[in-house]
Amino acid sequence: MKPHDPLDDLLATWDPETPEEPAFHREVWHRIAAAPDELSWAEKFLNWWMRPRRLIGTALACICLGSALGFFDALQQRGRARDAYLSAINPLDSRHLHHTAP
Amino acid sequence: MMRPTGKVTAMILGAVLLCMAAFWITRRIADVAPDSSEPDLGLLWLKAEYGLDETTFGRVRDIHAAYFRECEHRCHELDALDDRLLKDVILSSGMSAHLESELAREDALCHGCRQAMLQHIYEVASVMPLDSGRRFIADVTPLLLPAAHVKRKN
Repeated sequence: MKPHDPLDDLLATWDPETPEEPAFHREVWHRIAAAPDELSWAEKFLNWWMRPRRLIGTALACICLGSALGFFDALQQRGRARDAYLSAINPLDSRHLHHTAP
Repeated sequence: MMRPTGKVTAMILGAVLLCMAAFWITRRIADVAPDSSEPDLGLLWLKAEYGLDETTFGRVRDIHAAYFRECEHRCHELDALDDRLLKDVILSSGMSAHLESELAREDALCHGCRQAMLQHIYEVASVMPLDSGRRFIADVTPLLLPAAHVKRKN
């Protein structure tokens, strides 16, 4: 067993009192309220963006946009291919025999 | 640790890459000729548009080859006739029976070319499944006949 030390009694009576500044609480709340203004635009944007729903929404929007553009481009290419065929077989077209000739 | 601006840039880049991947995949799926060179484009359109199998497509290719051999022959004939006609037109001082007959021969040749084209369309349609063949004729003839061509341009 640990022998009794008089220092223990002394420490038990010690109650340090840190003087609290009168405006301490008000300043803390003021700093919390002011905190967002101290963030950079990138941090604000990330805070806004880094939510599961927004990230999923962004991914879906990217997929939809890419697919729509891809589909539109393929449609245009299909039209060009059709015109190439028609030009190739049409004897009145200037590109006759220049396209699709085997 | 990445800086916030770097993180935003990386995420925007990721979004752009995702968009490009979606574009590429859709383009690849919907494209009539993803791996083809330009000269085959028209025939590959035919294959994709009317859902031709390899056997039918092979027959269409053969019909095409025969049509083009015939066209080439007609074109040479027409070129020769055109050269003669131009010389005669320049040397003549007015319309003559000879010029009229040359013009009539040229018209007949052009008429023959259009007939050959229509014959070719019917031949291609005949090797396709019935419905596809009918659709093919209905699709292409309005775009190929001269009257329709003029109408479309106006």
